[in-house]
Amino acid sequence: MIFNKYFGLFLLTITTLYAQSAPEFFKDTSVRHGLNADFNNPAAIQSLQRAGASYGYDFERTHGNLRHPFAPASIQNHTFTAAGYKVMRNKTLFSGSFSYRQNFEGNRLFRHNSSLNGMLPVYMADSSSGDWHLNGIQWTVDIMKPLTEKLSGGFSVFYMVDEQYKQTFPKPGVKRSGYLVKSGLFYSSPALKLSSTLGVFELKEEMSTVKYSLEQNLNPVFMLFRGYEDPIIYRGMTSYERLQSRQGLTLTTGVSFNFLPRSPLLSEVMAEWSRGKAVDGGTDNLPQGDWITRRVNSRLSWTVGETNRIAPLIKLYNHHLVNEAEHPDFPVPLFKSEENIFQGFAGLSLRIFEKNTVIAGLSMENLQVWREDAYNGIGLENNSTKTGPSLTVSVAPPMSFEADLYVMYLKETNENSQIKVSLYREDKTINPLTNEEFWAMTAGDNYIEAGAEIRLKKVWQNGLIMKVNYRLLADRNGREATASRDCFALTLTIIPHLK
Amino acid sequence: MKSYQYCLLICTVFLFSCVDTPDMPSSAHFNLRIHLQDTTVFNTGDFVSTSGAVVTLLSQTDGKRLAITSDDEGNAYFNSILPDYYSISANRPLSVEEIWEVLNKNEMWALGGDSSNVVLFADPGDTMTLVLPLSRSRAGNLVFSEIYYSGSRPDPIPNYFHDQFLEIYNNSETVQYLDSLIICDAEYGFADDEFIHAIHAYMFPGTGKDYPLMPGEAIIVAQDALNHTLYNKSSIDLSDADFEFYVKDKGDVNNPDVPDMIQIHHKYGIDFLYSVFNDALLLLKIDDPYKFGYDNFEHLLLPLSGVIDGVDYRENVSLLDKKRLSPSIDSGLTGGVPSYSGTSVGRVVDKITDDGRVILKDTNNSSFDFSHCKSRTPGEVPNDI
Repeated sequence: MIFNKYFGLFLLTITTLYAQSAPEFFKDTSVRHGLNADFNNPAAIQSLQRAGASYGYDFERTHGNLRHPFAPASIQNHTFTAAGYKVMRNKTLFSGSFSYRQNFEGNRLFRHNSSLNGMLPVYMADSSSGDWHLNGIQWTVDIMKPLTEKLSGGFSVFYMVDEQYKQTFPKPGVKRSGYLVKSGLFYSSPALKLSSTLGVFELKEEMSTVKYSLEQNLNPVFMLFRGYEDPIIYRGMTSYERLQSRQGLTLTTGVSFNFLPRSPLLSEVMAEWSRGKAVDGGTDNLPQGDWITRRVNSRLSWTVGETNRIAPLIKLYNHHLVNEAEHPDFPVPLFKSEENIFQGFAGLSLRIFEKNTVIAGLSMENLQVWREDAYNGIGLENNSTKTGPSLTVSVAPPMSFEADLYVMYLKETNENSQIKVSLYREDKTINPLTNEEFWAMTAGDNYIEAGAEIRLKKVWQNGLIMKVNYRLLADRNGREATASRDCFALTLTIIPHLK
Repeated sequence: MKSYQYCLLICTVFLFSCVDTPDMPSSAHFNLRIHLQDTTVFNTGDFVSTSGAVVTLLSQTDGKRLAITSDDEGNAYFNSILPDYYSISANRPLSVEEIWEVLNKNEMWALGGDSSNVVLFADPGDTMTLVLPLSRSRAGNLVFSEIYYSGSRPDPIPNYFHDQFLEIYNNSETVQYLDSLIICDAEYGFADDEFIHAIHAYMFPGTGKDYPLMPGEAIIVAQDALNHTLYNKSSIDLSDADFEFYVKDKGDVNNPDVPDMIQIHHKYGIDFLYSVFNDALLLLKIDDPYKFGYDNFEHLLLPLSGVIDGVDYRENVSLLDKKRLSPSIDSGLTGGVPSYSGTSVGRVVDKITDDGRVILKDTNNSSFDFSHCKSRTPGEVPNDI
């Protein structure tokens, strides 16, 4: 193989989902590091060369009407990254990256949380929607130092800052910043690998708007804390500044060993806990409350007889998310949400020639969601399963390139979704916005994903990696004939002077 | 397979969870029983003085109102309400027969009680009991019946506030005289003081009985008695106002056909502009407005004992801790009106007498006594409940 092995390109969404660190989950975009490792651990990074660099461009476009009411109608993300690594004389490995981002979101409401992560009830601010523009930078530093022949330690830092602008009046602004500091230990031997990390993070989102509009004859609604129905608390109506912050811990453990000869099994679990808090600014600031978020992500992969011509393999991923909050003034639960996404693949790997492989199998995704407005007494439930075939072809012809191509199709085979209301609600009418949210959560019964990664060794003496990915989620049996949401992603990486 | 591989396999962790979905979502709803307690002499009559009272809950969070009529035991039951800060008001008009039975007098009285910014909370499904004492009260003789403070929508002039007006109504059954009565606005931060700290104060002209106001009639006091629609199309015509505030030597506009209010105190501004956001307006009767002098910030000190009516308004009616007036004058907040919206707040109708005279609600709690008027109606008092 020319480069470090890129195995498991299929199910990119799963990899993305698992690998979401707290900052990636917060801003809903990925972070490039200087070097990747089998485990999410800076102590596990390796390099075959003493030094290297890469320059990358990531483009992602999302579009479609199958979306959450608060999600943008369209998204375009551009990220430029410069990365590098160097091995010092004492074998300490430094790796780092710097990225500049420009994102464009079309027709999005002005609301907290600017990325719709974690199903947290959003804070409705200015009720108008518009086009948004984001500028931001982020950087990472990973350090790995061998402690013994088999044991290494690592340390990593991630930092981000960005600013969002809305083009239309009242032109509110959002500034975000955050960091993640992580340390880890990694034990590696031919038969066994063990990984563990511990990290702390803090993420902030500061919003500001103006109080009222004279030009547009509007009086924007500010900073209402919204449940899943009508705003349940009108707080800080004269407040036009709000800071939301989250602080937390993250812990990962992982193991890899040969379970049966030449049958590597890898497992890793990430657990994260964080507390979020919202504080108003301005003259009439009021406490807005806080909430707890817990995430547990796990993955497992196992290939039986990796070097055999035919090798069964299995990959499992699970993402679990829990949010809870109490009313700012009364000891009652305000909202609860729980989400579990399980993704699995079982199939066969067939080696045709020395470096050409076909992997075919069955993929499955199970989604379970429970979102509860525990104040007004309304809950949204979804339990759905999609299954379907997937195929990956890896080719490495006797020229200076390698390619991996994949395609996957999932169709919903089981669904149980409903809106439940408390008996204490005298008014059983469901808010139209809640209905829209429920539809967006449960629609989407056909999923197609296709992609390719092409690695070229010598393009003007440099290495070039190009990844293309296309995903389409469509609702074929729902209320609209053409409800869908698609995402196209392109990644280009240049590795200078690759030998 | 080696034993250690089994051990490692056991240690290998892959966590898969199911989501616990309850049959029904939780909710914070609970039940409330308000028990009315008559602390007045009307408790001695042969009638149940706490029965038939209209008990109103006003949510500070979203402004929702719930009204229940009390039963024969003086209980008002509110089912499935949410924890919140509430203002509570009870109003029990007394009939002529009931008053005669107890007082042997032909007077208008009502029983009322209120409580502002009360935390109402109980465990979901439980019932909370609250006792609300009632005291007797009479509707004020003269009251503010409409307050237009927000200013007009830009059409085309933005920030158009010159068309503010106050409407004063005779809520009693006898003739009232406006002569020498004072209208003022109160500074913020002195709600607990024994004086009103007036920013501006103006007096009705007259020597005693020059300006009578008959029962059921209203007058308009305009900031500028002009036809404002000539300048801003979304404004109103106040050229027929009964009185206007006029500030000499400051460039203020004066309509010579409309009597001017007499300036007692004017701290700043080219006119008597009360805030389009939050303020407090009072109607007072005081023999000597200068008797108590000024405070350290050049506000005229006026005694609380002279207050006839007072109204506290604010853009955010949940901010009861930011009130300008003592609860003894106004225990609530009206407003919630967007600035420069061309709308006003107006006092609601309490009852209509047999001869058709409208009695406006006056419980000294503007949270319940006033409502948002979508259009300004200078000189017109509502005549339906």
